[in-house]
Amino acid sequence: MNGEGKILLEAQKTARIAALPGHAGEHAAAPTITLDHVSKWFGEKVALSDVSFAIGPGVTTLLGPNGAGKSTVLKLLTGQLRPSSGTVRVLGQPVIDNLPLYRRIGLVPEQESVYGFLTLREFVELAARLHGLARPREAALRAIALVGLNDAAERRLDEFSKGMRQRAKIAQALVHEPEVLILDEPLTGADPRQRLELIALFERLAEQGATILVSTHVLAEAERMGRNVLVLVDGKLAAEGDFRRIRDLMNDRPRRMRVRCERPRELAALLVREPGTSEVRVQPDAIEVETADLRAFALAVPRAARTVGARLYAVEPLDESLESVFRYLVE
Amino acid sequence: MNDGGAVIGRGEGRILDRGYQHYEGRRYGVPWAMRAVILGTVQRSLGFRRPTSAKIFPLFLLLGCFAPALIVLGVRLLVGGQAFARRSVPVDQVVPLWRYFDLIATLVMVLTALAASEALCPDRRQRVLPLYYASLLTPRLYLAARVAGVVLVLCVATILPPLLLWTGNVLLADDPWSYLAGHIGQFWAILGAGFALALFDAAIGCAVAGFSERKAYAAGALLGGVIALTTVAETTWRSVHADWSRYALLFAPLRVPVGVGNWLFGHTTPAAVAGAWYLAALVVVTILALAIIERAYAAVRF
Amino acid sequence: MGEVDGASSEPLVLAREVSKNYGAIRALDRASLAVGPGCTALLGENGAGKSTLLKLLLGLIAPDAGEMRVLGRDPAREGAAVRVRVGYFPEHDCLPVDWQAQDFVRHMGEVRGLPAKVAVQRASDVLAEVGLAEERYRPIGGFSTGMKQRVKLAQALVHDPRLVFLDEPTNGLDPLARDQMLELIRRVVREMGINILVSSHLLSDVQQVADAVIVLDRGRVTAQGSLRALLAETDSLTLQLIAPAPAFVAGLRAAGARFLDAVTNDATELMLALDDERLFDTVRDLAAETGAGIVLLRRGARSLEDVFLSETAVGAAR
Repeated sequence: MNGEGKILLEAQKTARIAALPGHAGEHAAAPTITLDHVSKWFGEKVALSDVSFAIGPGVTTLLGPNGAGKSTVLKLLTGQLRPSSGTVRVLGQPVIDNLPLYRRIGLVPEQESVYGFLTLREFVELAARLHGLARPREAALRAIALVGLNDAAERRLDEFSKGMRQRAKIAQALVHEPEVLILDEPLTGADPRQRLELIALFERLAEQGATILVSTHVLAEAERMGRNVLVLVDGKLAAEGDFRRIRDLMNDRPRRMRVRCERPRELAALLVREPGTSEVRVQPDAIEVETADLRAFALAVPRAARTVGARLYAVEPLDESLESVFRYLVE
Repeated sequence: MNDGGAVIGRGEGRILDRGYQHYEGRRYGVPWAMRAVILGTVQRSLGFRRPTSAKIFPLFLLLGCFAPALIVLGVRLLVGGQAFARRSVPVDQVVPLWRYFDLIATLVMVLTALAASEALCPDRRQRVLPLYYASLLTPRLYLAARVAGVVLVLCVATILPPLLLWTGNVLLADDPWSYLAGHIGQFWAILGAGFALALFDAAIGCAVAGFSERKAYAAGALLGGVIALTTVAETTWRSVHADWSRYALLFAPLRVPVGVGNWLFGHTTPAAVAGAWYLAALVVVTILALAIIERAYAAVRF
Repeated sequence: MGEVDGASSEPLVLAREVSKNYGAIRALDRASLAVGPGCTALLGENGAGKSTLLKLLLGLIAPDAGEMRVLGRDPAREGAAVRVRVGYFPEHDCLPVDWQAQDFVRHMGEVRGLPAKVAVQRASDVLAEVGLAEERYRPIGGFSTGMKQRVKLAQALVHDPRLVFLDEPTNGLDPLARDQMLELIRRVVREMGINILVSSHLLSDVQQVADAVIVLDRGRVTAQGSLRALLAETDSLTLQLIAPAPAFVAGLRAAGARFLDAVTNDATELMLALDDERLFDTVRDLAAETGAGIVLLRRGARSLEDVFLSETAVGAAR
């Protein structure tokens, strides 16, 4: 999934499914997590419907509105749920009742469930022991250092702030150096500096070959955690891959651009004549344009500005971000 | 902008913009805020503003408290006083008023468990307290309002039923006016005993509930503790044959307010612990319970 | 120091050399700040003193030193009077699940001094304003996170406060609900005319709603000012072309433009030093003449994150 992206949509959406060359499973490394035609239902409620994807080492973000099925996917990956149909494989093996496999997976769940009366070191050491590590204390201290909580190692967990508890849970999930790390909203409660440090930590672990799957609602941060995304909508996989590539694939939708300039009205009058332009909005110091032909627009802007004699301060796309991709897929 | 009410002429129209309106009118003070909490406590304990299932249990308990009065009065009304003729007591002594509180003591305690846990536990569990504190109320005032609400709820069960019976006795007497004149003392005794019972139960009920976040645990702890203590106290009294053993009764939560009630009605019991002792015990325990819970809430940390 | 043109010039919140200690910990250390009209963001690391500041603001605790005025009053002395003019939106879940939304917001209105009929009316109106008109008679327990956050906002507004404190208002919201909440916050300031002090770790959200910013670091105020002023623009220009345009790049070189990144003439991503505003015109004219298509033209700017990181620098000398 390096630099490639795919949109998989139901019939209602008008985008075409783009088959990209060289995609079908030819990865630099073998996939570490695969879902193969997985469906999961609880009585009448279908949480996941025929979801298939494969991800490998690196950081992948799992996105989707509330109720889209993200927590179901995470539970399937950690063996808490059995798929109603299809198979779930992690590191090539099915997850259910596979005790040795659990030792290679780390999980940071969303709920706050820590034993308050333990100190941080005791808490992480407990996990180390449960995993059967040879030197639990060393491993615990190493994991604690990774998340930057060395100073608080001997303090009780119930004295910790929310952000610190999050990091404590991450330390616990890292203590056995898992190959696969699954995190559900890991940055909740962390202040901006701590968030950056944690994102950097995930990237470092990914560079060392770990597969990291992060479920998050904060798109601005998902953008930073690598470019690979999995977007779930209503129990189905709506898109996967590099989100920038996905954006490029959404070519049935015109692009929105913002031009900050002098004399916006005059400039708008010229740009509206461009054949690709479908909408022009005039603001006091800028114009917003919707165009189906980005190339023609890009060429027209400096020309028109020069004709009018208006200084051009900025040209910016309004829909490049993960946010706009997400919105398009969800709405 | 527009004067609502003016008739629109033909061919005219206007857009009425409601939007967000600022409020420049009267704002009330602390007593009003406390009233809001007290009222809320009373309503929700009795199941109002809540689904029907929440009304069943309190109504059932209240019915139980009213039962003696309803039964006696009902029989007297429907069948007449002679239905009780075989008993050698006057018709208005079939259920003597001093006895009433004894009869309903347990029911009232169950109602306390319900009301106190409902009053205090949900706000703790769902962390609503910070919203209350960001208002006219301080932790102490909030607590006072909650306790007052529980007392009021209990008063419905401890004062109204015996009052009903007393009123019935008056109205059904051969000479209501002279009966009233002769038994006016009972009216005040009812108020006093009923209030004492309500206050005592509310205090210990809130003291227990105020430390728990779960209604079930609070109610269970309260009822379990009360029954256990009462049992131990009474067993001590009955089994230990010493002079001091009757003072063990002062440690029976179900008995103390009843003892105060008896004292107010001028009725002496075979246990022969002087009424004043009961009163002292009631006062001490009530103050202690309120002090404990006040401490707990005043140390607010959010 | 707030940026939006407000009616009065007196700050809504004023703190002068405020200190507060908890035992050995200095939660606030001679902090001085002013909150003006509009939407002000309060930023700081965990433990920087934000919650202490909030408690002082609400009059729940008193400072050890310094003075504080909220809406013209001293909260330590006139706590109740301050609290009924301030709204509070806590970070954590704080709504009772078995109350109807309308009922609860009404109750909160009364607890803050609104007469009974006014409370009923305002609760209904405010719930409609936050977009819960249809759901207001349903129990809160059945609401989604986004709806619950809106109820929290409604109860903070019901008594018509002049200032509302929002603590992590977008917490737990999915991207769509987040956008709705941010839009709602903007409406509160612009349409309802209510001032906001918002604390959030999500700087991208803050950037979308705040007019002014206050940064707290270890009990002290290290930066405050209008957002625009803090995010001062830097002197670089980023360009992205739709396709390689060697003539354009060569022309820029010939015109003496200074490239901040070494690039070849067929590069499509360029970064130039903006020494003189006439560069804008140079770029425009050259692009028009040489047929270069511009998809991105942007002046470099500091991000709020840059501000935050530099103003809360670990181990920075004081």
